[in-house]
Amino acid sequence: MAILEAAGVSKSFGGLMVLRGVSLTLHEGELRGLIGPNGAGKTTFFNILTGVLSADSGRINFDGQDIGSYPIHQRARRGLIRTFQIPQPFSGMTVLESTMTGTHMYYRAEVWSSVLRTRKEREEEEEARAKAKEILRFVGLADRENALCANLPVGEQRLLELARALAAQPRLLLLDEPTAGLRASEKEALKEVLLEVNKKTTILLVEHDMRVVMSLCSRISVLSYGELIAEGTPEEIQRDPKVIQAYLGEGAIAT
Amino acid sequence: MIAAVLVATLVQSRFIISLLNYSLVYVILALGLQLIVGVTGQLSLGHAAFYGIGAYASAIATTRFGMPWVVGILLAMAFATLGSLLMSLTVRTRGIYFAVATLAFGIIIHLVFVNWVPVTRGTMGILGLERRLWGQWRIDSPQGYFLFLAFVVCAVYVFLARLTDSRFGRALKAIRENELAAQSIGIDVTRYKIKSILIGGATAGLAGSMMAHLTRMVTPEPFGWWKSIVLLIMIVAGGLGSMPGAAVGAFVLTLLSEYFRGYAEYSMLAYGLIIVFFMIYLPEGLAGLWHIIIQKVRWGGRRAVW
Ligand SMILES: Nc1ncnc2c1ncn2[C@@H]1O[C@H](COP(=O)(O)OP(=O)(O)OP(=O)(O)O)[C@@H](O)[C@H]1O
Ligand SMILES: [Mg+2]
Repeated sequence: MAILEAAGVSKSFGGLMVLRGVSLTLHEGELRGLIGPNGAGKTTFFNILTGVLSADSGRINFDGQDIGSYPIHQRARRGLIRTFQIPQPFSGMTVLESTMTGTHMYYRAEVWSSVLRTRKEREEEEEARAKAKEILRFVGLADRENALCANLPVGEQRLLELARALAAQPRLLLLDEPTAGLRASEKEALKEVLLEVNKKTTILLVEHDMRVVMSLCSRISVLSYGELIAEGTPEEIQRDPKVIQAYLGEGAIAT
Repeated sequence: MIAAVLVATLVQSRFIISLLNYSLVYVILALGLQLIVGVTGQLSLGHAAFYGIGAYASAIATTRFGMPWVVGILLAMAFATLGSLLMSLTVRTRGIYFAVATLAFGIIIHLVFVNWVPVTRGTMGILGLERRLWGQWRIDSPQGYFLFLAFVVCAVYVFLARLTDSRFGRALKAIRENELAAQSIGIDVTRYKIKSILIGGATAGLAGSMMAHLTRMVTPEPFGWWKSIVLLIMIVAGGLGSMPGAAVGAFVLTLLSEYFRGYAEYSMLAYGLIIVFFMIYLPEGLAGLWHIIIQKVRWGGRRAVW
C-alpha cells in the first residue's frame, strides 16, 4: 500500500526551478534511497513534504490524505517525521529531555494535570522517560543522557536528531544525510540501527555515501536538477547512463 | 512558608515588613515573566500592562462595586488574562517584531490608564482600597499581609516550577530552543505560546491586585513600559529560564532598590550597570552563579576524597 504519494511537485526560488514536477510513491515498509548531486533539490523536497515550504504546484498524499495544506505539526501528528541535514538541536536541554520531548504528541498532560501532578500525569512522565531511555540505548547515546545537547560532538548530534525523531514514533521517517560527518565505524553502527528501525517504519533516506545507500536500500530514486531521472534497484541505478551522466561532475559512483 | 511565619513573628519593624511585601509582589511578577521570556523564549516587553490591568480591575471591583478582595483578585486575573489574549494576537510575529509589538501594547495600555479618566480616574488614581478579603475577614496588619503574600508567592512558585518541569514545560522550552524542530515533532507552537502568555499574564494580574491592596491605591505611574524593562532585568539577573533565579533576582533587586530609595534618580543607572555586569560576567544570572558554586563544592568534595 502506498504510504506517500507525491505527484508533480514543483518549486522555484525566484527564477530558479529547484523541483520540476517530482512524482514519488513510497510503499509501506520500504527503505527508499533518494540520491542526487549537491543542489539537486533533495532537502527542498523534504521541506515541501513536511510543510516547511509550500509547493508551487503538485499534490502530496500521505496515508490516503491530501496533506498539502497542513502545517508542519499536523503532518508530524500523522506520522510524517524528519531529521535535518543541519542538526536542529534543543541546545539548552539534556539529551534525555530532548528525547522525551520527542514523545510529546503521545501524551495528554496539560496545565492543571502537570501542576497537580495527577497520577495519570506521573504515569505518563514515567513512561515517556522510560521510552526515551530505551531509544537512547538503541541509538547508542545511553551514556550521554545527562549531557547538554549543545555539548555533543557532530556524530552524536546526528544520533540525537534520530533519537528525537524516533521518539515521535514515525510512520514515515525522512532522514536527510544522517551519516554526514560520521566516522566509518559510526556509519556501520548507524546502518544496523536503520535496518532495525525499518522493520517497523517506512524510511526515505537522503544520503551521499553511496556505500551506505547501496547496501541499505532496496530501491533508489535519483534526483538531478530538480527532476527525478531514475528509479530502481541499486544495480539498475549504478548501470543507468542518465545517473552516471548526472554524477560525472562528481566522479563515478563508487561501489 | 515556615520561614515566612518566622519572619512575620520576629520582625516587628514596619519598614522592613513593607519592604519585604514590595519584594514579594515583584517575585510574582518576575516568575510570570520568566515563563514567557525565559522558558518559552518570547521576549515580552509588555508585562507591566497586565500588572496594571490587574491592579485596576481589583481596585475598581472593590472600591466602586464594594466587592470583597477575593473577587477583586479573581477579576484581576481574569482581566489580565483577557488582556494577554489580546496581546497574544501578536505571537505569530517573531523575534524583534514580537518584542516591539508587546512594547507598543504596554505603552497603549499605560496610556489608557492615564487617559480613561471616568474609569481609572487618570493620574489622580483610585485611593482608599480596603483589604476586606471576604465577609468581615480583613488583613490589616503588615505582618498579616506579609503572611498572605508569602502564601500566594509559594503557590505561584509551585505552580510555575511544576509547570516548567513537565510535558507542558518541555514543549515551551522546545519552542525557545528551536521552533522548527518543535513543530517537526508535532508541537503546536502557536497554541503553546499563547498558553504561556496567558498564564504569565494571569500571574501579573494577581501581582497587580496584591500591589494595589498593599499600597491601598492605584495610579498609572508604576505600570509604564520601563517597569516591564525593570522586570526583564530582574529575570536576567536571576538567570533566564530559572524559576528560583527569577524569584531571587526579583527579591534582591527590589530590596536593594527600595532600600536605596533616596537615590531613586540613580536607579535606572544602577539597573543598567547590573545588566551590563551580568551580561559580561554571569550570563546565566544568579542561577548560573549557584551552579558554579555547587560545582566548586562538589569538586572540593572530590578532591578531599582523593
Ligand atoms: N530558501 C532558498 N532560497 C533560495 N534558494 C534555495 C533555498 N533553498 C534551497 N535553494 C537552492 O535550491 C537548490 C536545491 O537545494 P537543496 O538544498 O534542496 O539541494 P540538496 O539536493 O539538498 O543539496 P545537498 O546535497 O547539497 O544537500 C540549490 O541550488 C539551493 O541553492
Ligand atoms: Mg540537502
